[in-house]
Amino acid sequence: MKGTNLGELEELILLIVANLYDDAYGLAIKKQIIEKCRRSVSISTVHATLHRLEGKGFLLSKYDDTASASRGGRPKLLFRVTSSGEEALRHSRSLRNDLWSTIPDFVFGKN
Amino acid sequence: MSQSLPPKWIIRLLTRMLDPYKLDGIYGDLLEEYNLKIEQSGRRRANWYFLIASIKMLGHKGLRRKYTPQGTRSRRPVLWYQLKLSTRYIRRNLLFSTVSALGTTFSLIGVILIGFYLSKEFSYDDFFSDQDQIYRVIPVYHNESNDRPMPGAPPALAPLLTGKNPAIAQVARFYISDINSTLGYEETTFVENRVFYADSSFLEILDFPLVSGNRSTALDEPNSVVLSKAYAVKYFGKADVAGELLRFNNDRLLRVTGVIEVPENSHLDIDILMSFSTFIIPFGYTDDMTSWRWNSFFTYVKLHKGSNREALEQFIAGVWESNQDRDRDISIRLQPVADIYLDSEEIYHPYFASHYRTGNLVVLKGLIGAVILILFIAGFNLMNLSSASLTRRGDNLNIARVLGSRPETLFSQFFLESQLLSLGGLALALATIQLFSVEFSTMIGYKIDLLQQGQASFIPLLFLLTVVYTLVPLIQPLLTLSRSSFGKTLVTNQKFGSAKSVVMIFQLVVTAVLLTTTLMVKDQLTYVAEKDLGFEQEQVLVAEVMGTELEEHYSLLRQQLLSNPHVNGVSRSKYALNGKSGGSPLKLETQDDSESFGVAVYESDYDFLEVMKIQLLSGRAFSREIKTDSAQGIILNKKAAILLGLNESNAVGSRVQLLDWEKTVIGVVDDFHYASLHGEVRPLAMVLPFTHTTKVLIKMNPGDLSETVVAIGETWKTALPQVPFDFRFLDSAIDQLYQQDRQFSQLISTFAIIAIAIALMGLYAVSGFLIQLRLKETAIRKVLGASFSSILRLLSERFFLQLMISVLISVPVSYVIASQWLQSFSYALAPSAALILIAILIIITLGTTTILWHSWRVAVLNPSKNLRAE
Repeated sequence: MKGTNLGELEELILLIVANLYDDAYGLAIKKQIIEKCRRSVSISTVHATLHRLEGKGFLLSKYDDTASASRGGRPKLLFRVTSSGEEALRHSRSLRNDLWSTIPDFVFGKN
Repeated sequence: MSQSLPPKWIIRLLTRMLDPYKLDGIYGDLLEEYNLKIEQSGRRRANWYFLIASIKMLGHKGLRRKYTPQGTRSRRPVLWYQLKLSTRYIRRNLLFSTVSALGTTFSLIGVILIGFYLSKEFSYDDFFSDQDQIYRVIPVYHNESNDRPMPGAPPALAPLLTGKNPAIAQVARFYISDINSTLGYEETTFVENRVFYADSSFLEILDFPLVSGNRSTALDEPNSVVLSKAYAVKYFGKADVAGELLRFNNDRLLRVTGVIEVPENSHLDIDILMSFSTFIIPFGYTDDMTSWRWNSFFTYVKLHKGSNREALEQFIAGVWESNQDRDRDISIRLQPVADIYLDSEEIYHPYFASHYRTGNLVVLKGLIGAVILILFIAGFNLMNLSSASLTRRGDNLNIARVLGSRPETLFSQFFLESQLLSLGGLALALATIQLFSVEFSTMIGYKIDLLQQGQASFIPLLFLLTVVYTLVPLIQPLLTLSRSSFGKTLVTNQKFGSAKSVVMIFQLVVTAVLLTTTLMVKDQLTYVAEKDLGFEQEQVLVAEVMGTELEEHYSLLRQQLLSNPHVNGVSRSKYALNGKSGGSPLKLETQDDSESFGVAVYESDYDFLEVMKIQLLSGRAFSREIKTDSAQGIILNKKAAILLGLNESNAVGSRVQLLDWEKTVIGVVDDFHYASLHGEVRPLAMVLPFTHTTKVLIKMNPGDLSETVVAIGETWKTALPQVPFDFRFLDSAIDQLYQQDRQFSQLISTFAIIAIAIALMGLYAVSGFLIQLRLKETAIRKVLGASFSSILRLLSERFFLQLMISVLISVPVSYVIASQWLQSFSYALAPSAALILIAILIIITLGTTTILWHSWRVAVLNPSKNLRAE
């Protein structure tokens, strides 16, 4: 059984897949990361991460039936977040919220 | 949208290697991105980008196609399995493997070292452009008894050659002055004991790399000087010094017109090169630039391409004969500049001994021989070991063949194994050389650094050599393998033994010979170091002084030095017993010119014989009381007296002619060794100085050395404050004469050690193997009641026999080889029987220990252990 904890990039990609909903394929995810986070990431890293997440059971993949010329007629491999993926995201968020809420006021100052 | 496609081969690669399920999705993404890139930055960059993205994609294991171990075709090539088998075999037979790998390592170290040494020796003067058109003029003097070639020619010759023959492009004279002079810049002044003069075309003929200046004009003007880069730095602290001025002998200014680079592999070791017009004939010399008998001028000619050398030799001889002032029978030889370094043995003359660099062909041949022998020893080792390993695996191989292995597969398996070992050996050799590069560099006198570009370039060649070299010894065992039929043990014990005995004997003989040679070389060098030279070299300081300075102040200096309690005696001389001397023809007054012969001339002052403890055989030394001595007195050595047809008892009083001077022999001295022991003592004449002497010889009283030197230095300073006290010890100066021999000795002993190590390792492995083959036999014998000693004898008998045969062969061979080398010394030890005995004892001891060790181990074993496992 693979570990179910999320890496930083994994969490990011999982969230983006959820955001993109029905157009979550490799290149679109890459574009989102570049736009939202202003960090450069290669298409191979994206695919490798997607593969890892799929292996952990957080993502499901299927091919769509469109075909565009710019893709050389190849279909897109679309990803969808599974319920265990959703659970992992929620867990990670609540963990953060918890930790944030218990930080004493004087540490970061008032805001 | 455009529909451009990236390079096909990348697509094919992706298709083959990506997970088939993901392929469309990933490839589609890559293509989409590719098309975007084409729009942004063009096709070329997009292609690159696509390639890199694809490679990265394939770098992720999860995205690649997964292979299943099932299926008809194994995905791993045969080579992989063979490699695995080989490494496994190597590991299991660590002793055999180590021995053959180390053998390769040692022999390759030898090859690499000698390779460097040879490349250095043969590279002399190869940096001159058109070196095949440059020659040195060698006049050969003929008289009834012999031909005497000289490296130098008279100064009158060169000007007569310029422009007189269409074959000659340029001519230049080159003169080496070892009269001390001073050079100074601002506050610094140095005494220089070697200054060179050359005609203006010299730098165009011998085109040393120029750092600054113009090679065709640098030596045109009087008072011009060209410095080597090292000397430019010595005087000015920088290399680019053209136009600067130097004080010469404190009475002239020289302009630096150029700086040259003098490579280490140049036969001329030039530091200070002055224009020929600067040259002033030294004080006391009777000849001038029109002389035909002052043979001190190297004369270089550059020919036009395709000129006939022989015709030119005759032309020059013709010019000489029609212009010379007296009748001498000469011919001319033109020596190619590339031959000067290695091929000047014949024209050796003590006067020129330190004027140019020469190599030693005998040493070169000896080393090449040693390396070839080592290659043979190591090669035979490989052969023996691979035969042994085949024998050992006889059953193994038979089974493989029964199961359908083709012979080629077995061959390649076997080949791979040996290559793995030898390439491991090569790697180890290279690592060792790089690790000890400093030590090896000093040993061969050539800077080794394998990481340097030029030196690394030979590594592929070495790689090839290693492959071939380790392949050759495999041929014989492999042939045996291919010929043998099923079922039979491949190589039987008996067969293996008899064929290999010869090889083993050969190895032992070579080892013994190398060892003997090494011991003899060492012995001879000790002999040279301790031989009575006919004078006392210990406790003598040689101080270098400017000639003119010494002339003025010598008597004062001498008095002061003699009053120092540390000083035993003081004299002065032009030459100081380390090989150099002047030279002139000598004959009896009554004899004809053609009967004269060359003698070395020593200009030495009163007291010289006494200070140096040179033995007078008859007559007397020079005396201050007898006024005629300075003009007419001459002292000969025994050799010169005999060549005049006299002997040591009747020579005194004879009238002789040295060059133009008539002299009376006042004494005869014993033949002392004023030059290296490589040559016989040549005839010598001693006269009181008529030119400037430059060396003060100070004999010290025994006592604390450093204290004595300091005290003498103090005295010197009070007597001659303007001249630095620049001294050497005579014995260390003489020791310099044997530097090349020491290098040879070091190299040959290294090789001997290498050879012994390889041979012993071979003996150890092979005898161990053969004895192991008889484990069962010995066990049964023991069970049947054989005694420990009888088994020991049984096992080691054959090896002892081989050892003894080797010893018998090696004695005469060592003797012959050692006496060959010793012949290069005129004063050599006889090849000593004791040394041969020692060498052989060493071999016998080491060999016996090895064999007994194996035999003993087998003989003490409990027989049940060996019989159990059947």
